[in-house]
Amino acid sequence: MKVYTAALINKPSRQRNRELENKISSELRRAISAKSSQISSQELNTFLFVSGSKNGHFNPAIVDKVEKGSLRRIFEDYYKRNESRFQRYLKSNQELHETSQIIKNFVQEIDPSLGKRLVTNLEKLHNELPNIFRKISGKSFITVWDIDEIQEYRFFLSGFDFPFFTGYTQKNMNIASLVDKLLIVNFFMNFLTPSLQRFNDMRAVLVRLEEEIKKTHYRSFDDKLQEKFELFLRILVAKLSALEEVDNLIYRIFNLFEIPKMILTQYNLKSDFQDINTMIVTISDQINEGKTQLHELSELIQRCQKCFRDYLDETVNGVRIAESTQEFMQALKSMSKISIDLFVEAESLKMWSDFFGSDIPFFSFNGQLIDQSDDRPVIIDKDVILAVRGLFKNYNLGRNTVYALRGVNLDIKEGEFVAIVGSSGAGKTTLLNCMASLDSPDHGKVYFRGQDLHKMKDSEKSEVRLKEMGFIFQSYALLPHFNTRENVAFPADLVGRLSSGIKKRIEDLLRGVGIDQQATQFPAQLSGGQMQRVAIARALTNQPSIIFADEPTGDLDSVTGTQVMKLLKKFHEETKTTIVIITHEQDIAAYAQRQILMEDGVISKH
Amino acid sequence: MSYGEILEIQGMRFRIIDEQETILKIRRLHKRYNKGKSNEVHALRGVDLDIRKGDMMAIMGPSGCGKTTLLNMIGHLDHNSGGEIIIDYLDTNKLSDTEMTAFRRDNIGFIFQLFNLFPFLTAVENVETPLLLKDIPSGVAREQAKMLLRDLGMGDRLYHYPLELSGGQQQRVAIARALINDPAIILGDEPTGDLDSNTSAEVMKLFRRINALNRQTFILVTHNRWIAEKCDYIVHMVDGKISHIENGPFLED
Repeated sequence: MKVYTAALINKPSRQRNRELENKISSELRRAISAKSSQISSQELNTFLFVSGSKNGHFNPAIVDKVEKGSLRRIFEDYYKRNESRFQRYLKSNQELHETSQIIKNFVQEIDPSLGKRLVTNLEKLHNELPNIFRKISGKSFITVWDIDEIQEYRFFLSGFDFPFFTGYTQKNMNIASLVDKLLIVNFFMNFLTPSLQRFNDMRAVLVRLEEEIKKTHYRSFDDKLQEKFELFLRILVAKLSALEEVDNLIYRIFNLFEIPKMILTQYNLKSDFQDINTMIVTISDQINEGKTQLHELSELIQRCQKCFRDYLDETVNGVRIAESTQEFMQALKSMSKISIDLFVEAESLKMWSDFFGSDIPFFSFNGQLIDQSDDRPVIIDKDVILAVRGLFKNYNLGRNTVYALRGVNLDIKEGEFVAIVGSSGAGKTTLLNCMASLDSPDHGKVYFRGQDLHKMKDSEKSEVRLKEMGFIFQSYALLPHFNTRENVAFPADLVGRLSSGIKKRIEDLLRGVGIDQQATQFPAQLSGGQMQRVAIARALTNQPSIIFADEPTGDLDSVTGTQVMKLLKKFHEETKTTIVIITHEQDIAAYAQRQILMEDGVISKH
Repeated sequence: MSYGEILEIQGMRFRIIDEQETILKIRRLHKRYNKGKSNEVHALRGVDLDIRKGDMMAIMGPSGCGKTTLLNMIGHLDHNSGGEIIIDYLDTNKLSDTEMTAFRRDNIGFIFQLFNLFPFLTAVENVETPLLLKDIPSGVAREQAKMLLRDLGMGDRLYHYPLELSGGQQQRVAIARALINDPAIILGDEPTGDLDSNTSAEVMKLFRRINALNRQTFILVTHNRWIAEKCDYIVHMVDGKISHIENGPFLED
C-alpha cells in the first residue's frame, strides 16, 4: 500500500516547516508501520508532499484515525501558530501605520467619529484576515491511499463538505501523478468563494466612490486643511496603485486549474468519485465568474485612481472653494466615509494577494516528483548529447523565493547550435549552469551522453567539464596575469596535454579568432571584442564536444557583438561542435539553428 | 486647452503644439569615437531635432545606428564632437564639467535596462540617494522618497532590497529614483528591455501616466515597435542620422 499526504504550508517559516515535515513523516510511518527509508517528503512551491509505501495489510481503522485525528491535529496546531505570527506582523506593519495616520489626520477634521471608524475597521481586518487565512489553509490538506492489495483507493480531501472518497482501480491509473492535481482542486474549494467575496466587496466600495466623486469637487480656503486633504487623496491613489499587479497574480492562480480539470476529466472518475467531477464543473464556473469580476475590478480601480487624481482639476466637475470650514466638512463627509472603506478594502485585497500571490502562481505540476515507484528507465535518443528531464530549481532571496526553473525538459542533439532566449529572470542562466553541472537542480536530471551528470563524483564532473565542455561568459573571465596565448593554453595545461601538437593548435586558434597579433598582450591591454575572442579560443582549446556561452555578446557593442557571433557560427559550420548560447536579444539568437524560448522558468516555445 | 493636451475631434486625435515650448533643441550634432585612429567610428553624422516639453518620444533603428549614442549625448554622459544641444535655452556646450554635473543631476533622469539599483540599499534608500547628494536633509528626503514609491504602488515594499523585488518592481524603484529630482527630461535606454511583455506593458502605462501628470519629457530608445507605439512619435535613425519621423497616434493593438 502507498499513502500520499500534501498540504499548503507557509513558506517563510522554514524552521516550523521542517518540524511539520518531521511530524507528518513520523505519523505516516507509524500509521503504516513502515521504516523511515520508506517515507519520503519534499516541498514543491508552497506545498509539502509526504509519501510512504509498505507491503502489508491494510487497516481501515488506522486510515480514519490518521485523517480525522492525528494529521488534522498536527495541521491545526501548525496553522494556529501561523495565525498568531501573521497577526503580530500586521500589528507591527510600519507602512500601514504611517499611511493610515495620514488618512486619519484628514478624516478626523471632517468628523471625529470617522477617525474612530478607520481605527475600528482596521482592527477588525487585522483580527479577521489571519483567521480566514487559517481556515483556508487548515482545509488545504489531502491524503491519498493506494491500497493495491485490495485494488482500492481512498481520498481524503479536507476542503470538501464530504471529504471521504473510496473507489476501485481503473486500468492505467497512476494515482501518484494525480496527487498534485487533487491538491489544487481541494485548494480551489476553499480559496474561491472567499476570494470572490473579497472582489465583490471591493467592487461595491469602488462603485459607491465613483458615484460620489461625480458630484462637485471642493477645496478648502484653509491652507493647512487643504494640504491634509491633498495628502489624503495622494495616499488613496497610492493604495489603488498597489493593486495594479493583483489581477495578474490571481489570474495566474485561476489558470492553475486548467491542468487538473483536463486530467481529472479525462480519467472520468466513476461512482464515489462522481462528486469530484461535479465539483470541477462548479469550480470552473466560479473561476469564470472570478475572471469577469477581476476584469471589471481592474477597470474600476483605474477609473477611481483617475477620479482621485483629477479631483483638484477645475475642468473636471468644477472645484468649489468652500466658504467655511463647516461647508467643507459637510461636503466631504460622505466621500471621506467611503474612502475609509476603500482604504480598508484595498488593504485587505492587497494582503490577500500577498498571501496567496507570492508563491502559488508559480506552482507547476509534476506528478513524477511524488511517484515513489518512478524508477522507469529514461529514454534518450542516440543523437542527443544533452538531455534535461523535469528540472526544478528555487532560490531563496530574503523574503522571496525565486522559482528559477519550474519543470524544464529539453533535448540537445549532437552538433546542434541552440540559442536559449528569454528576458532576465526567465531562468536561462540557471538552466545553463545546471546543464553544465556548475549548479545542481532541486529536482530533475541532466544526462550528458546518457550519463546522469549529478550522480557523478565531483572529480568526474570536473573531468567532463574540462575535457568535454567549453565555456564563454559575458564578462570573459580571463586570467588577468596571463597573456592571450597563456589564457588560451590554460585548459590544455590543466588536462596535462601541452604537447607540441597542442601548441600548434593554439597558434591556429589564435589566428582563427583573429587575435594572433595580440598573443603576448595581457587582458587589460585588449578591447572587449578582443577579450571575447580570447575567451572563445580558450573555450575551443580542448576540442570540447559542447560549448556553453552565457550572453557572449552582452558586454559588447552591436558591431563587435555581430563579429563575435559570426565567428561562433563559422566555427560551428566548420567543426559541427554543439553550441548552446543564452541571450536576451533576438538578433543574437537568430545566429543559432534552433531557438528555445524561456519564460518564467519554463520553456514556452521550442 | 493647453499644450500637450490631446484633443479628440471626430475620432481623430490632435496634439496641441506650441512652438515656444521647445525644451530641447539639437543642431548638427556629431559624435566620433576613436577620432583620428584607424578604427574611427562616426556614430552621429549631423542630427537635428526639436523636442517639446511633455513629448513622449521613441528612438528606433538598427543596431549601431547611433540611437544610444544620441541618448547619451542628450543625457550629457559623453562629450559631443561638434554641434549644439540647447536645453531650455541653455547651450550645454558652454557649461564647465562641474556645472554639467549639477545640470545633469537637476534636469535629467535616467532609466536603464538593467535598473542599476544598489543591491545593498533598500528601495527607499535607493530612491532618496539623488536627494541626499543635493544636501537635502535626510528626513525630508526620506519622506519624499516614500511618497513617490507609494505613488508607484510600492508602498509595502519600501524596505525591501532589490533582490527581494520582482523585475517590474525593481524597474519601478529605478523609475522613482529617476523621478525624485523632478527632472524635466527622462531618458530611457531600453527601459523595458529586460522585462516580460506583461510587465513591460505595465511600465509603459506608468510612463504615460507620469507623462500626462507632470508633463515631463520622455525620450526612450527601444528596438521594440510595440513599446515605441506607446509614444507620441517615433524618430527613426539610420547610420547616425535621422531618416524620418513617424507621427502618432498609433493604432491600439
